[in-house]
Amino acid sequence: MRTIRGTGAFDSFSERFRLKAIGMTLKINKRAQIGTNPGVHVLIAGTSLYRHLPNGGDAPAARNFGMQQLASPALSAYKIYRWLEERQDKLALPLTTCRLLLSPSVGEIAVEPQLAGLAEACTRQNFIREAQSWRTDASTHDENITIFYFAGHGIQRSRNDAVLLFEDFADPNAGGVLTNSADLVNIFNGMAPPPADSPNKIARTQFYFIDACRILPSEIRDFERMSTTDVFDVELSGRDDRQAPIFFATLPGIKAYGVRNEQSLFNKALLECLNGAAGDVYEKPDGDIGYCVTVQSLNKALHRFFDELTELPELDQEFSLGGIATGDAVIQRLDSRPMLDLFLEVEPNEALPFTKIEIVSGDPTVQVAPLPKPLSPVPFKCQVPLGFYTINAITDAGNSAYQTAAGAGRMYLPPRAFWKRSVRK
Amino acid sequence: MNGKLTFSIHDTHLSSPLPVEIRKPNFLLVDKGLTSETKELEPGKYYVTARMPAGQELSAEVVIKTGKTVNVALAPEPAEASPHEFQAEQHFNIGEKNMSRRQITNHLNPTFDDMFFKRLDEGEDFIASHLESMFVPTSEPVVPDAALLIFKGNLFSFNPSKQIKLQGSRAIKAENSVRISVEPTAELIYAQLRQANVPPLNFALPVSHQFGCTLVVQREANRNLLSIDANLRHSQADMLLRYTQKGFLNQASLVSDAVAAEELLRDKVSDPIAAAVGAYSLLKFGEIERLHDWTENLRQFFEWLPDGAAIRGEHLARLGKHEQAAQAFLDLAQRGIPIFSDGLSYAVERMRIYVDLERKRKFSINRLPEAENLLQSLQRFSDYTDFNQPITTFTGQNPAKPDDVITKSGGGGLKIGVFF
Repeated sequence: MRTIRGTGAFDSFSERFRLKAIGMTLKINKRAQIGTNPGVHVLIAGTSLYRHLPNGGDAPAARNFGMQQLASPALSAYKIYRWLEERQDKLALPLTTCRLLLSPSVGEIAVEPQLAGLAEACTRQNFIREAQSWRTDASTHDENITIFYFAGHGIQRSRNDAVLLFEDFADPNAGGVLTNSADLVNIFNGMAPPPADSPNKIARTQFYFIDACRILPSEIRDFERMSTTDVFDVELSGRDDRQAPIFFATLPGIKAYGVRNEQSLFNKALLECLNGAAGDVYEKPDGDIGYCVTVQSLNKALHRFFDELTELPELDQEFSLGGIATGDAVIQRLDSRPMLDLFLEVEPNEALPFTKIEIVSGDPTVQVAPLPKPLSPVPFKCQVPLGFYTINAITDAGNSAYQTAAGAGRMYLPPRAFWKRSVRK
Repeated sequence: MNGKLTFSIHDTHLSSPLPVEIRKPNFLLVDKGLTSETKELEPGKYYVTARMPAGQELSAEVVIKTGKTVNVALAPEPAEASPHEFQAEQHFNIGEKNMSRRQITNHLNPTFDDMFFKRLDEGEDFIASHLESMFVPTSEPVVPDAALLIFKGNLFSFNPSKQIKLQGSRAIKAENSVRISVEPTAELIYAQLRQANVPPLNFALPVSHQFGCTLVVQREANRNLLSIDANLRHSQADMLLRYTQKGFLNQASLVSDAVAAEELLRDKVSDPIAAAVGAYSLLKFGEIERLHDWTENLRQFFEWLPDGAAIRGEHLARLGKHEQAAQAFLDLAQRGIPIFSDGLSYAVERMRIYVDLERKRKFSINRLPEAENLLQSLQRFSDYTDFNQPITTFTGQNPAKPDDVITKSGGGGLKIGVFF
């Protein structure tokens, strides 16, 4: 435990920023209500403060591989936790347990004071303890669902692997530099189904979200293969029939980016997608239409999101999906049909006074309000539900310079779409 | 009574059927499949969508009538059409390619060699003269200082002097790319692209005894750098690879599902490379049942193919047969690095576990020294591999000793840069 001083003076830089985690790590516990039924078990960890990296306030690392303090992972992890709190009744199964580990930076606490003392720090010891408890909960029923979210520093190992670095990474008194870190592969394999002759169970639907850089500092390559700490004693698994997608915030070899004291880009994209941008349609048992976010719809939507981001030349982050991407498990149900921002333009601008834009939905139950003529401002932004639309540019009958351009039915998906039509003769 | 729906694709010049989705106006997905199929649907209005491997979207509205067969034509938007027919495959399959980001370190403005290139041997002369006949440099060419070399062999026991020539290859120059036809061979071959001020890029060429591939060297948009890629000769396997690479898993699943992965595995005798692509996709989607025992045949019938060993190893591991899996992975010591990066990833991840368990005496394959050596060799490559690329791609001037040392100039080899 680390201790908060009062509002008086502090003895040292490190003590000023030590925080006492007065909150529990098991933030949600509904085991009693759920009983022996399957449910969702969650482990969330977010590390912004790295005590042994520069300005961390503790004994400096012998080697820090150029890594610095972070300013968004803890807040990002917290946002995921809050999202689960709000949406717990909309998950595919009831939310049964949720564990939270946070090592926030001072800047993040300033922005979100609730972070202070909300959860225990994401140290190696705490992480291993909570991960093992999480796995125990996950092992109560084969139909359980698990969610794992990690945000912080990461190092690439292979396509499906990353080394997750904890708050006490590079502790000079801990032995090897990677002692206070864990291999994702160890966690992933530790959650694999047991052999067929074992009485043990494990959740067969597992979602992993790794919001971390995946670079391999050249200094680390130069050393003999360094060892991380095993979170689980991995036994040889049985038949691996899990649905276990791993959503990586970035591609192997690429950094992940965040907005200082706000959230990471991946976190922003993920939440936007979970809140509707990744929505898809399904048919309920009663024949009604419902909306949900699934693994595949989330995958598609995250790609769309990052395709837009890579238009910015200084940003090379892309998202990737690993693990075992079997099936199309439902992550959560949505309350309503997802909406998208539709941006409209006509070429040339001079034609605007003579052009009326008409949006016709392919779904007769959707009526789009008439748009102003001329469109203003340009590009003109409106909101429509996801679906199929025909967008026509109808020019005034009397004008001689421009001609009506009829559209063709096209699919428009969240979060945003762009439409531009030339009406030149 | 239902109606029927058939599909036609226009203006893409691609030979393989595309995966499609059919939705109602309320967006509900009613069916999916390939454009080569005929779908039976209830009368009504539907929307058909298809996505190309490079990302272009095709869509059309169709009305199905009772007892009638309707054909829906799918075509790219004019703005997304291929600039030329001969570029269509690249435009719709690969699109704009960013060079492996591992290479972009301290890129400076390139120096320019003159237009002379060293005629190393008949093979490269053939390519060079063929390209030269098609392309006349402009008065002020902006020429990436780049060279292309070809090596062969198992990189675990590799002699860097084993540079070879591309026998009887044909080449086509397009606007921003050079496409070189690589002939079949039943051994491992690698292309190395050397450019000034970036680490050399090594690229495994996906060829087999019966089918070659098309090596594509492309100039990156707005950059003075070249990238490297390959199209498989088996067009459907190539499409499957591209969809998976781009993360279009819905589409990849449809191609894998409806076609072809099983056919590819069944046809393993004719095209083991395509069979390997099919097997990797089934592993990715967890479709272990559909692998049957064919992965063992792929491993046994093609002893030169590392991916046969990696696929079989991962298949067995997923079944919980770990001792047999380890034995399969250990074949890689004699075979070399898998041609596809999925295989390298599976091998590294599994062997790390097996070596660890063997050391802790929780596992027994009785080949611990071999396993440790193999793991060390694999990790040497995985540290410098770009896992974003589906075909194994890593940096290093000596293909057997990966590193990220920057070269000052393109150096010897086919001066590929002069053709851009």
